[in-house]
Amino acid sequence: MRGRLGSGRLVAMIKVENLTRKYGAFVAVDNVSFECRPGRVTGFLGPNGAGKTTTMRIMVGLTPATSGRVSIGGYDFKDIPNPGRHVGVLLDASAQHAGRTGREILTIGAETMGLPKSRIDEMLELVSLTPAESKRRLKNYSLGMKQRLGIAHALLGDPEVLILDEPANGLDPAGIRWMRGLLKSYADRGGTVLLSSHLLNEVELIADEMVLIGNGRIVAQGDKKSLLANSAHDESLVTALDNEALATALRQRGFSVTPAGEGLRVTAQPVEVGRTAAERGIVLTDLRAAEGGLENLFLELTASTQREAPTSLQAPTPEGTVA
Amino acid sequence: MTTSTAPLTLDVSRTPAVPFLRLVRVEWRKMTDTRGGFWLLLITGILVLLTLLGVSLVGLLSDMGSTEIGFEDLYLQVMLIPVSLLVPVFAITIVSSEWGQRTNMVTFALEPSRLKVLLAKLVVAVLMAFATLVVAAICAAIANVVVAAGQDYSPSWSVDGQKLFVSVVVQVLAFVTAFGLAMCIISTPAAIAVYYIITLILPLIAYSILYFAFGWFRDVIPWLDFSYAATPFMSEFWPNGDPTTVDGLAWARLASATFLWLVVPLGVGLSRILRAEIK
Repeated sequence: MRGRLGSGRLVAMIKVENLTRKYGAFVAVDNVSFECRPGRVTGFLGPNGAGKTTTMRIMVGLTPATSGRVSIGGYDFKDIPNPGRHVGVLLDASAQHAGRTGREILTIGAETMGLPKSRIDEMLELVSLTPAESKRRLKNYSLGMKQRLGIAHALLGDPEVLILDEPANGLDPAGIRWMRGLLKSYADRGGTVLLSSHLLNEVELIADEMVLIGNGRIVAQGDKKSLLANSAHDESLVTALDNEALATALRQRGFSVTPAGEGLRVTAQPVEVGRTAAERGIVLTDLRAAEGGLENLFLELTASTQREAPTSLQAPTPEGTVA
Repeated sequence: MTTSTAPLTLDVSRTPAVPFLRLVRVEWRKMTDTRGGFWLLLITGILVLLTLLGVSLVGLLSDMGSTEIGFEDLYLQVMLIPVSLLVPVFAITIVSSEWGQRTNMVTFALEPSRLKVLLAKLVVAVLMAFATLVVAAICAAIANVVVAAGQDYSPSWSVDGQKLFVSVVVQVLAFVTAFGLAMCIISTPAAIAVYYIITLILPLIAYSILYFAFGWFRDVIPWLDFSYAATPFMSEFWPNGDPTTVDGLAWARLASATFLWLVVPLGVGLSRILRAEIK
C-alpha cells in the first residue's frame, strides 16, 4: 500500500451520495447513500436484483447514474489517472476472454497499468494459483479459480481501494476463510474494501461494516453490533437453573418465550433478559444473542424484495380445460 | 456511519495517465493473443503463400508471349486480394469481442476514457491495414523478380502514384469501415455478415447486374459504393466500357462514398459506445 492511510478510521474513502439509477419506470438504485472507510471491510448485502451490481457499476463509471454521485478518494472514478493503481475492481470473475490463460489475462492488466512482469507471479502466488493452473485457459477454470484470478487482477496495481462484486461466490468454505484473511490483512494495512454478497453468512464472516440494500434502497447500515442493537426484534437464547420461573417472569414483561433445546428463546435483547433475571434472583447458566438474529433482520428488512413468497406450487392445468 | 466526515483524498501525483501508445500496444496484443486471432493470421498467411506460389508458377511456366507483367499489376491486381479477404475481421473483433467476452468491463475499469480506448483500437486496425499493404508489396516484389526471370525480361518497377494512393485509401477504408460497423452492431457474427454483404456480396451479385441493366444505377452507384467511386482512379474504363475521367465529379463521388462508409459508421458507433452502459 502506497500512502499514508490506515490511521484515521473516521474518514471516508468511498462516498456514495443520493445515488439513483432509473430504467424507464423501474428504479434499480433508489437514493442510495453510504460510506466506506479505510481499514475496514464493508459488506454490501442484499438479495439478488436489489441493486448491488448496478451501484458498483455506477461507482466505476460503467453505468451512468440518473442522479447523485460517487467519489473515491475525493475523485470521480473517471478522473483517477491509471485507476487500476488506486482502485482494484472485480465486477464479474467470468467476464474475461475464455480463450486466454490466467497468466495472459494478468499480463494484459499489468501491461495496461505499466507494471513489471514480476508482479504477475507475485499475484498468482498470493491467490494460490499454481504455475500450471496459470497456463490453463479460463474456460477450464472452476468458478472458485476464476474468483481467485479476479482477486489477483484487482490487486495487481497495489490499489488503496477494492471494489468486489460477489467475490466469495463459488468459493468453498476454505476459500471463503482464505479470502477473509486476505481482505482483513489488506484492510489492516489501511486498504478500503467494499464487497457485495447475497449471502449473509459470507458477509458476516468477512465484513466489519454492513450496508443492507433491498429493492434499490438502503434498509440498514452499520457494524454488526449496532445493527443488532438497533433492531427492535432481537432475540436471545437463555438457560436458567429454573427455566419455568424465568419464562413466567419474561412473559409478564411482555416478551414472547418459546422453549429452545435446554433453554428458552426470548424476543428480547440479552440485556433485558439479564435484567429480568437479576430482578427476580434467577440464576442464569447461559445467555447470548440468538444466532440468526441478523439473518432475521436481513430477511425482514428485505422482505418486500424477496422472491420466495410462500405461494403454493400448482400442478399444470391440462390443455383445453378451463381452470 | 452516520458521522459526516471529510473525504479522504487519493494521492494521484505519482500516477500519470495510461500513455496512449501503451494502450495501442495492449490492444495489439489483445487482437492477436487468442486462438481466433491465431487462426485468422495462419489462414491469411497460407492464402498469401498460395497466391505467391501460384502467380510465380504461372509466370515461370506459361508462354506469355510479348506481354510483360510488372510490379504494379502484381501488387494491385494479385497480391492485395489474399490480404484483403479475411484480415478486416480483426478490425471487427477488436471491438466486438470485448462485448462478446464481456472483457469491456475490465478494459474500461482500467481506462475509463472510452474514447481513448476506441482510438487505440482504431490505430491498431489501421496499423493492421498498413501491415497487409506491406506484406502484399513484399510478395508482389518477389513475384515480379521470379516472373521476369522466368520469362527472361527485366522486371518493371514503375508504379502509378495515384493508383497506389487510392489502393492504400481503399485498403485502410475497408478496415475502418469494418471497425465502424463493429461499433454500430457490436455482435461479432452480425457485424462480420453485414461487412461481407456490403463489401463483397452486394458488389459481386447485385451491383454488377444492376449496373448493366439500368442507366440510373450507373449514375448512382459511384456515389454510394467505394469500389465504383474509386474506379476512375484505378482503371481507364468503367465496367461497361465507357472511358473514365478523373475530374471534379470523380473526386466528389469518392468523397461521398468515403463519408458514407467512413464517417457515418465511425460517428454512429462512437456515439453509441460512449453513451452505452457497459455490462
